[in-house]
Amino acid sequence: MKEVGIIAWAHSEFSPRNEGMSRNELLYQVTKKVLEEAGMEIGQIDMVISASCDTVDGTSISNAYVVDEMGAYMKEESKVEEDGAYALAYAYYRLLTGQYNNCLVVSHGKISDSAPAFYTNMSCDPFLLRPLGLTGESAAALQARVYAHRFGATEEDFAAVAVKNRRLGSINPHTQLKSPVTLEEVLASPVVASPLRELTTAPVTDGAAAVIMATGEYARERGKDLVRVEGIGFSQDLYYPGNKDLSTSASAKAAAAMAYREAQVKDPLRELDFAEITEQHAFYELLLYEALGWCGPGEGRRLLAEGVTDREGEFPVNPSGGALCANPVMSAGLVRVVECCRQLTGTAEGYQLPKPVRRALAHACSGLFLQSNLAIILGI
Amino acid sequence: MSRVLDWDITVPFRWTCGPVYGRFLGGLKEKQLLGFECPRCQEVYCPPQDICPRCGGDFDPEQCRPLGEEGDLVSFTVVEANLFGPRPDDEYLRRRIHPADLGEHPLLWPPDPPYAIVMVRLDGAANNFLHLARGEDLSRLQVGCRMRAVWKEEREGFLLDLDRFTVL
Repeated sequence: MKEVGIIAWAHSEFSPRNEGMSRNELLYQVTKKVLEEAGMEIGQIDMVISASCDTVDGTSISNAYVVDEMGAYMKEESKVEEDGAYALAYAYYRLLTGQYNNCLVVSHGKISDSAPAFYTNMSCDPFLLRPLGLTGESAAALQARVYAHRFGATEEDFAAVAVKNRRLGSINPHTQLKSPVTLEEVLASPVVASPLRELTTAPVTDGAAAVIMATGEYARERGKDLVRVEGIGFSQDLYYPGNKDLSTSASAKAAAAMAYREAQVKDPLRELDFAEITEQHAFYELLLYEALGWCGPGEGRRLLAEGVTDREGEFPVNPSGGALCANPVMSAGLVRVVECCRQLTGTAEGYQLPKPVRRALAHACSGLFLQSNLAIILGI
Repeated sequence: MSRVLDWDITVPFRWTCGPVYGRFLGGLKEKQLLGFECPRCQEVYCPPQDICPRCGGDFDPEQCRPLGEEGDLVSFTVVEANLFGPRPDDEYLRRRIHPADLGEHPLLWPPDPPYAIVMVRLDGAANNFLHLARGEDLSRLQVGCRMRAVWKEEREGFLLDLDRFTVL
């Protein structure tokens, strides 16, 4: 099969409210930055796949309004109403057809223009969920309770994830929250929706991210190193949360299985060197260790406690600090890809993993109750 | 110097419920929690969907019967942070959230915290029902405890005709 990968990557600064830039400017700056990284001009880009959310943007078919800033005018442009990592998946399949040499993938979200609760509540159906005032936080809290009750996990177990990721994020110069926190601080932080607290939940983040993908031939012709996409899997679960087992994520399992199959990974913990996952809530990380096939059901906290997923461990997870340190809406998953590229190319300055790394998994998710999941295997 | 424009978006909607949701919501008006039986796998769902989430069977809106008003608490969260900001006055909501020409619709705004969102498995149902608990000592909520439906006095065929579940 054709070789396809990533030749350049960039993301914006992350902040809880970027007062200085409109969403168009945010997108323009990240597009310029990724083109500079690639040493390319916009005229050399074959097509653009963007990712954004109409509700976050407050505009129907909102990509139409930002076509100029992402350099997509007079080009083939498609929008994905999902995290930017899903746009990457579509770009991958298009490049595999052999019809194109390269693709700009770009995502943005300026959530501070409204408030996350309105956006996540609007993603609920109007008959059975929206009238309850359900939001991303209360949905995750219901799932956390199911997980905790089934496996006997405690608030301390969830807090330990936040402690690890905030510690790792504290040496990542690119992230938003750069201060470590103690277990006591996490457990004393205000309850948002029990059992979730402020410090076990991702911050509010404005941001944008971009990557340029290319075929192997194109990268070689231009003397560019390629971070290869070795496999991609994605899956969508049932919608109504009362109809499925919330102690795991069937769609995360299916997405990982599909990606492992394509990349011919049989034993992910041994064959992959690290992972970056979208743990927008601390307990997601434990649940995803299990769903992505790195341990058995309920064993996530053991993996964490044994240090396996820490910076010095045999399988570091979120060496960047993850989404608990910066959670740019519509870009959190694509930023996981960017962080994998940095580690794989030895350019994670200040937070490069101590061991050599050649192969990684990036995970993105979308929807309430981890409804949709995406796994990407990257290698050099 | 960056300028900020401050105005909201109001979009009028009249949501068509369809035969199955319509029947279910109509049942709430009659103080009934209707369970819908899948014609293929015979599992009973409350609330239902248009098709069976397990086997894809096509629900018949008339194939339903009232379940009891009690069930087991499967999960809950007590929402303590006010994520939506302070509740605007009713005039604002009427004007900005639900315009006056949609007057039969309730004024939607989440309850003031603390309130709980609960997942209840009604006796005889194969799935869990998400709803609210409020106006009582929420520290009594525990996974596995028995819950009972509490109805509003005035009902109109809407999810919140069921005011809340309460701990038995």
